[in-house]
Amino acid sequence: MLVNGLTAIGATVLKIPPSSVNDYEANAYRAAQAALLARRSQVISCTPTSSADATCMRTLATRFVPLAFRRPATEAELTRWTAVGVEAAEAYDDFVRGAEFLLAGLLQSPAFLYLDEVGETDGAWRRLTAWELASRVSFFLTSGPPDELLREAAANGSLLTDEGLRAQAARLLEKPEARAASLALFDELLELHNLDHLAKDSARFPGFDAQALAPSMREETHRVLLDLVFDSPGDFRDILTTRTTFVDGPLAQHYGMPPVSGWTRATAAEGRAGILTHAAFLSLQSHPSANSPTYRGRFIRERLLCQVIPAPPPEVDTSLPPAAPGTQRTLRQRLTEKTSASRCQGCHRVMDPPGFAFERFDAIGRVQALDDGLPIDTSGSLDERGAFDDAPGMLALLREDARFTDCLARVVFRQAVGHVDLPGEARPLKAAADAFTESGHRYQSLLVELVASEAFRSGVLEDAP
Amino acid sequence: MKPFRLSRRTLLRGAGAALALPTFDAMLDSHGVAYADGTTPPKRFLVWFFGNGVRRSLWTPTQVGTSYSLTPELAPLLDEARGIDVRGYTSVISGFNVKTQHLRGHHTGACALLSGSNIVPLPAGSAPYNSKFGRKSIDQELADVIAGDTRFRSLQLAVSKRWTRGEGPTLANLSHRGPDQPLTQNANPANVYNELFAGFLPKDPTDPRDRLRASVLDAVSDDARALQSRLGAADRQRLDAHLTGLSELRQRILALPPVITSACTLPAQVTSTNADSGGVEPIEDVSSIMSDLIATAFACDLTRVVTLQFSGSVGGHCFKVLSPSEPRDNEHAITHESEHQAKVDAAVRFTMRNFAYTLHRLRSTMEGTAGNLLDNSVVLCTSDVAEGLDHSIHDYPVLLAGKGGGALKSGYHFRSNNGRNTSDILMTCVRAMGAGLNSVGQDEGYSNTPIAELLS
Repeated sequence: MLVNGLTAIGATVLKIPPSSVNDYEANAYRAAQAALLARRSQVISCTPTSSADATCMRTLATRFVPLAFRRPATEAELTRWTAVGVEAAEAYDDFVRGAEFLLAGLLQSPAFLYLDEVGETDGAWRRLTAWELASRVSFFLTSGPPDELLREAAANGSLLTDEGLRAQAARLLEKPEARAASLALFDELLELHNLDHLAKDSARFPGFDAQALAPSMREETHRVLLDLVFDSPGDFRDILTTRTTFVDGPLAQHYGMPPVSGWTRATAAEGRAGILTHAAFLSLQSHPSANSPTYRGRFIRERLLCQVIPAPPPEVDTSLPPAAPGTQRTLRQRLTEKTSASRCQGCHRVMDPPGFAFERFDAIGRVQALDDGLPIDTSGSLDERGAFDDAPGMLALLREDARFTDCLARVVFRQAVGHVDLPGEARPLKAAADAFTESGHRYQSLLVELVASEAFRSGVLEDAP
Repeated sequence: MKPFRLSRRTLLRGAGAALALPTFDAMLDSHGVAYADGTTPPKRFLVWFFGNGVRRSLWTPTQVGTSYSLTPELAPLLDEARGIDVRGYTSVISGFNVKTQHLRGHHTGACALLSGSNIVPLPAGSAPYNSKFGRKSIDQELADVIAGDTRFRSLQLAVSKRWTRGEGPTLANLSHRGPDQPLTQNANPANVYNELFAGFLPKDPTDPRDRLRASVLDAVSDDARALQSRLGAADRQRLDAHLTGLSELRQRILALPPVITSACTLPAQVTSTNADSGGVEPIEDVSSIMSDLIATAFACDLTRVVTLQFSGSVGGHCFKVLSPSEPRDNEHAITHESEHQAKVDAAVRFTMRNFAYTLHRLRSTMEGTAGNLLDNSVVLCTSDVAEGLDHSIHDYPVLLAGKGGGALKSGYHFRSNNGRNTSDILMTCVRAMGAGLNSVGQDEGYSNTPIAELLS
């Protein structure tokens, strides 16, 4: 479950419900049976001399307990799990059934299901052991357990050197799993999973099928991110400004671009800049029938600048009434009037200005020339960073804003370690953010720098050393 | 070298989240628990929850007492065309206010009505807003007392799949075994069926499978205890919760099958998985299947405590009734659009139509000479806000249905004229269930004063 915007944090603070214990059990038997069906000879590497051959069962335990637990096994564990396999093999008079219960058991063990990061005290730091570090790096960068080379690096200790750790991180980033792991974080950061139930007002947008177009919207943002991070690595801040994008037929039509067949690299129309002008973001941060400069601006404040925006006061009607009959008002005018009270202004003067920059895009991400028949004002200023005329102008300011890169580093770090960064982690985190800047803002460099930081390699410090 | 303190923060992380284990259909080969000893049936407790509130002007009856007239939004409780009449089983409670601190729309109301506690904003630093319950939810308080040796200590079900997951446990879950242990609701009727009724299937007595599964769980528990010994207090508690889950599963595996009675028979196989059709959720179908499953689970005494989330707080559900030709209106979103309040009303009526069916289903399941299931149940029906438009939490909409085995008066409209605490309603549930707890809730949500007028 997402906590503080990230599944990685939910997995650290919550207790699992009993229903998950059921699901783990059912899945464990399915997985064990599937493995024994598809790869029996690889799984059962010894030849049992009898249906309940304890020596061969111990061979299996010796191989699979460390794999499942991602560390060397203890003697007690080997004895325990060998006994489970032997008991089942005897009961069924079948060695394979014994292996099934052994494997299914390992997959339910807390040693498999949790990452324990207890570490060892080392001077003023509490350092993760090589095995703990291997799991942390691997789950962070590839969403899965350590591979053979990483296990080797943990076993021979090279993972504990700065050089060895960086080399492993760089190597893991070349695996296909690294792409999926990065997208999983971006999905949570950009709230793209909410596209699954995107709903728009059919009276306001006749013919628009949100459910049909949502997968293309998500794919566009994914492709731009993958391009900039992995395929043609560049300055990651360009996600806010690049006009390079990818569209398929339905999306090209939605944007009013020339027809394409299949996914095609394209240049977005003038006036668009980066992923915040994609249909995905613009649709998600809107109401079903109307734009929400507040949602769009709040997203920039909270998710991209790591600022805190309180909730509206209790029992406030936050709906925006339509213009009085016979009058013409833009949404910006109506919102400004509605929020003019001082108790609203505290937050709205912070949230709304960057949101107004997107007013030339409607609630499904298309361009709108007029609002209620009136010209649209997208100008404003971003704190003391400067004035802008429109979305590309605002996003260009955001791109240069150090608060954005610092916030990005913090969010990615939270994903990596499963908790909101603590005061004692500020210094190493800042060092990683600075190294990210020095690298020319290469996202892969940010990942490697975070992995190499003291805050990642240590357990948790409440106070700076 | 400056000394440092180790953080009390957890050092244990669920790898499952990162692993994204595939969710297979859970088909547990396990037995149910024996019941039906011919004595008084047990009391059951059901929370029936819907998101985003009502429109009080169309919800609250003007008359109080037993002769209240059904309002437009409560009209589905008496629906002659469907053969449904549960008005006499339903009490309306109005004029009650949430007394806990109104920290955040939706969060505060859900937490107060389900647990009588203040929400706990999660220490977010600069991360997005999240909160959790301050206390275990009322269904779990009651399960501690009344679950007995039922096969399922409690069940968590949902109809709409589109509940919000981005604001922490308060809005993502109805049922909370503790502040850090939200219980996930199951929105897949086929899965619920399999889990509930697998124990009815004939078993091969020579198959050692269940005994071996129990042995595996013992070894898993040994691993858990070995790991626990290395951890700090917070993580030990998290593994305690895991160990409890293991021991409950073990108990279910080894339990005896249920005794078949006239009320408790194996229902027909349910195949619905609650899949969207053309982007629309099959809400009414799933709601009626879930109602059937709840009735059988109660009748077979597989469980005595159920929470059903019909629609989620701030959920992304779209009810077909809102715009029949193009059913894509998101209910939470329209509650915040003042020109769309007629659609909100339609959504509430649709919700009550489904609630009425659940009650009807309980009412039409007889328990020998001891009346029907609704006679022996207490059903709490409420929402996360009073009205969605302004996130208000005063004059809260609450229905209390069922007769609690004779302990609860029904068919009554009780209105508080001095804004009583909504936790008094929870305390009324506790008394009606005969659960023997002296109070519910805490801080401003504390109550030890049930609504005397509703207790027999």
